Amino acid sequence: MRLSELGRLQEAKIQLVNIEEGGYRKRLRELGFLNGTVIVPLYRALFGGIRAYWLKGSVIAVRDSDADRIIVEVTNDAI
Amino acid sequence: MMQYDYEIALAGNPNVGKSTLFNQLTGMNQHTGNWSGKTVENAYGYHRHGGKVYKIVDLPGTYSLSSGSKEEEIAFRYIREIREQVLVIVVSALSLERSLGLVIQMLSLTTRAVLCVNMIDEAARAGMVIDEDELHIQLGIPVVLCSSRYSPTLLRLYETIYDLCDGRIRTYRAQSLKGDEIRGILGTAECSDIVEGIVQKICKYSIRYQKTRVPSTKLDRLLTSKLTGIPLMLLLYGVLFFITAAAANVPSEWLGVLFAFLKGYIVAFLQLLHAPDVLVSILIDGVYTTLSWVVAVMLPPMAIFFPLFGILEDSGYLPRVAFNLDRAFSKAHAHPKQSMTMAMGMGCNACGVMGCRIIDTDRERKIAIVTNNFIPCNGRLPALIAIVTIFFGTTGSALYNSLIVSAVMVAVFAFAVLITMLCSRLLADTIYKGEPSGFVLELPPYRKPDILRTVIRSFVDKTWKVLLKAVYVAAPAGAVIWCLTHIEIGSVRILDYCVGFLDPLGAILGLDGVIVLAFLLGFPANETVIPVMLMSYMSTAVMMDYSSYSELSAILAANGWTALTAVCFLILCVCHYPCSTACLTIWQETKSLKTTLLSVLLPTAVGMLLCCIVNLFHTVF
Repeated sequence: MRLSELGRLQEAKIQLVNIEEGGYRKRLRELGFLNGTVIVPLYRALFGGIRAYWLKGSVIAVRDSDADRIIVEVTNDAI
Repeated sequence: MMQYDYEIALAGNPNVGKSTLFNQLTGMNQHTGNWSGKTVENAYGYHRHGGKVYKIVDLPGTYSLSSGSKEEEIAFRYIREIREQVLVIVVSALSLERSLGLVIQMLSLTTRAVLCVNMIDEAARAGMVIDEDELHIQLGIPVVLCSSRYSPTLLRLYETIYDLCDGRIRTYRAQSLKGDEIRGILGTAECSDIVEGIVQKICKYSIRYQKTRVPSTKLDRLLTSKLTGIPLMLLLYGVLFFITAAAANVPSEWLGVLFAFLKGYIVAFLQLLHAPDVLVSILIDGVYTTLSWVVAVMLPPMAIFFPLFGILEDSGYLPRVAFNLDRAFSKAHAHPKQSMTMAMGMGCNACGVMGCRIIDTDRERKIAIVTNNFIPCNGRLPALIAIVTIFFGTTGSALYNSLIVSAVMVAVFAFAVLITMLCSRLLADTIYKGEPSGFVLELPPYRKPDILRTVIRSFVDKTWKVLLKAVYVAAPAGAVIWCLTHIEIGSVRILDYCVGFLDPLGAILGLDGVIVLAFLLGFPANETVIPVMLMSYMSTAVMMDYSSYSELSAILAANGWTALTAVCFLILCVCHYPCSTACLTIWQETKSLKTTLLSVLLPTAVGMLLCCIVNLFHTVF
């Protein structure tokens, strides 16, 4: 399942970050986008296109176009 | 430079309360500058205890230690060079798991460190339990759980720092952290894999979660939903706008009165010294008048806007604005944080340019800098309002007029925003070409801002610096304007020669030579555009302001102004080169001649082109 398809407050584990190596990928990694990290979608932006997620103790916003390329596995239906 | 006994550096992620801790340690005793050769702020201050002076350095907040950004490079170099210094690694308890990676990277470079796990109160509320001793054993350095807002916990941190400086505490290099292995490969994927493994192991023994970990999102959902988010954002921008544009006028007038009052004394003083009349005239009618104009108009909005913006910044709301507006800015291939620098530009473009520091990628930062001047600042606003009122708001009842004027002003700003977005896109596709940096934004928890400190620091660090720059350029410019209006060649003022010379250009733009010259002479300060225009139309030698719109209207009509002239004036007023203060700021912020020139040329070219097109349409149809 893609990260972008995840419902609000649906807990999941990151399985694969399908983004080419580079500055952006590195930044994601530093923020905790690693295989196995637990991630929970929180809320969308006013004009859309981007969503805030809870992972590793902080709230991080990622664009939907990038969230499309992050594959996750649902661990728990709602928390 | 003060003598000090020990040097202590604060390092860590952004948004973990590092600055609050820095403020607590140094009090008001702090200084800012730039790291050598970089436009990254270098804040340092001094802390006294037991007869010793501790120099505190606030390293830029980073997420890792490889040299990806300017901030990371500075932090990396500093930590690599540590000999006698002590490193205080500040992390947020809430995001301890994420931050430990950075901690481990830092500990591969030095062990003269203490880990400060901040915001422990917030973590406790979130049901997190952190085992301090376990962390200490695993990391080999002292660990202090604290809350930088709660002093008793801070005192423990202070004691630990003193002990570490004096050598009363020993640290050791924990073999399990694999420092030797990762030191050479910091920032690579391989490094992050190794570090992640270590972090998992440490967390397993030292962090426990008692209940659900997801924070409350009530406030955020209020601010990001369509129903409530848009009104709240508009309200906020409206208040910002109102305060900078309207509320600043009152102190501006006071300053104007004060300067007029002082003028009499300065003239008297100069005459007491038997200064020649010409010199008195240059100094008073030229330099002093221009200078007081610039200060009176620029100081109040800056003094109001900077602290207000600082408070918003501290509260954590600004990242939410960037988050909300991301879609529009990603279409313009610009950085979402540009919306904030544009709002800052409304107060003062030099402020806006300085504010572009919040944009962390070089390419997008430059786009924001170059296009910042399209947003009319407080200095241009009075001229815009005057012209709009005269040409669009005199036909109906008072209510009708004020509605029309408001609507046209909104249209002017909408035009300014549209031009900004279009030009940002244009720049992103041509000169500042590059992969639009993938955007990932941390939305930090909301915090109560420290209002008093923000007000004082913003005045010392920002307002005062911008004001000084304005004074540097306004003074000589005042002398130049004086020469143009006072020196006659064959009984014709130089000013009038210039007007004659510029008339053809003015005609192409739908304007006249006087207006073009007024814009040129408005380089040191946009406020002077209308006064210089009047000086020229009325053939007076001293810059004058209008006492009423009807008076101004009569003067303009007598000099051949039409609705076309008004529209072209509005366009050129929105789209022209930045004022000298802003130019100087652009140069200082980028140290790039290309960027500075582009910031001058692009808006001017756009403005002239649009004026030509409007004029052409008008002539043809």
